[in-house]
Amino acid sequence: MYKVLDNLLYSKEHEWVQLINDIAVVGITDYAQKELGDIVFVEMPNIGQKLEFSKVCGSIESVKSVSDIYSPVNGEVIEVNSKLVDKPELLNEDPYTNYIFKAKITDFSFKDNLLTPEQYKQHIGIS
Amino acid sequence: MRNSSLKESPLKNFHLSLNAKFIDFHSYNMPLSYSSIIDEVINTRNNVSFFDLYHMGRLLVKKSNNLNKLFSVSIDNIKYGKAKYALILNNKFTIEDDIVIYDLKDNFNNYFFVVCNAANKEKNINILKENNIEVIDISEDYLMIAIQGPFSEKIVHNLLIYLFNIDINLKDLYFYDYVIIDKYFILSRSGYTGEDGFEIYLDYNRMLKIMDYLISNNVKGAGLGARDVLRIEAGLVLYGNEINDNINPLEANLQWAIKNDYFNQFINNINITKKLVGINVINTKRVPRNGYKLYDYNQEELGFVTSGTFSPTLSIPVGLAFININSIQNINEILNYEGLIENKENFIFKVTKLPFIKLKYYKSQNKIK
Repeated sequence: MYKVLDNLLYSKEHEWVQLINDIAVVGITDYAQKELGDIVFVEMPNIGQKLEFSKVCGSIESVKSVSDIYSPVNGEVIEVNSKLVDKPELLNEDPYTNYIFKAKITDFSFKDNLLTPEQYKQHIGIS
Repeated sequence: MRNSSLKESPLKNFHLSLNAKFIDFHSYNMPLSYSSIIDEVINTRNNVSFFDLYHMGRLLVKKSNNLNKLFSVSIDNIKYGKAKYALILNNKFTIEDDIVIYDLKDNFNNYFFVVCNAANKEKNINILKENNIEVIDISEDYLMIAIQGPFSEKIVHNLLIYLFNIDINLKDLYFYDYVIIDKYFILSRSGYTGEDGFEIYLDYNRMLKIMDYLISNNVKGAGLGARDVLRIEAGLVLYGNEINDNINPLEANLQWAIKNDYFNQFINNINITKKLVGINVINTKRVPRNGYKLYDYNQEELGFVTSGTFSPTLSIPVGLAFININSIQNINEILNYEGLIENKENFIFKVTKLPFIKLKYYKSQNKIK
């Protein structure tokens, strides 16, 4: 019922992280988008913004609530998904293809705090 | 985190079969949505949806002159066949609840059938008892659903014939008219969405048949999430958000619901400090939320948001808000007034007329064929 991909790492706050060398691609999980419901606005971090693990770096507005995005990495934002400006609903339609931002990692210490796919499945109660 | 004291709707299995997500609404475990709140709103505006309203309180209230000091509509004004929207008011002229009153005539002689908010049911029972008015909670005897949207008349007409062999000319049943089909079957042309629609009060066994009929005829469900968006778009107040026992009817634009000499006398003597308005958000798709403060461009506090949502019908965020009367000289001047909604990043609102959408109630002057 909730999709969890095998090749990603996850935060307890329901973000996914794909690590490609020193670049992290970050989005929200299928569980997160289903819990939020219809997403109508995504406040993304700014390019160049410094990110600190577990600190708020944006927010997501759904019809019924607003939720913070917590950075799952330490680094600096190098790209945001501009498609989400006009089509925030892409996060509902395909949360794993539609990332929110990419960051250049400055310090890998955050990695120990992320969950493996198996751990994340346990975290959301589906394993 | 299931709360074991949650009350479950007798229609729960239908919601489960439709993959509903549930919400704890004042201790009632009710459908929040079935698919997407936005889709459910659009389906209600363009087609037809059903809503399980089991959480609403259904009370029998003994007819008594004492009600004239509690209900904003005097009991002489409550006529068989026409439901009345009313407020329960206190001696400070603030609002304890908003209700709909039906006279069931011979079926429950000497009682009114009163539909109230889930959150206030126990409080209302206490208020009535304190005023020596007999009250019976009959919420379990009558389940309650709403069928709302432009195709609701057709669906209701068909299901009455198909299931119960009852042929009612619904063209003669206008907004807030109701018919008592039998003691445990009330059909009311009413709702809280801004659309044409019906509310049905009915015993469990026959309600199951209606639910089966609706689902097999592909009528989609809409949850409390969609209901909230629909009522905000229609500019309708919700107890706990726009109205409570600190708000008087004039502040909430509900003076039209006062048809009672006892409460009329308060109208000219009451102090109004704020007024309910609609706001559009004009520079972002951030949503105004309950409790957000409003400021003018000089950082002067203007008021606060009571409800907000993204409006699927208008494709912009909208909200209901109280504006302080002191902060503006003339209430008529606030239309189109712009200011800031306080948030991490402030955003701009513009005061607008309520409702946000055109109401589609079926009224007698409507020339609908």
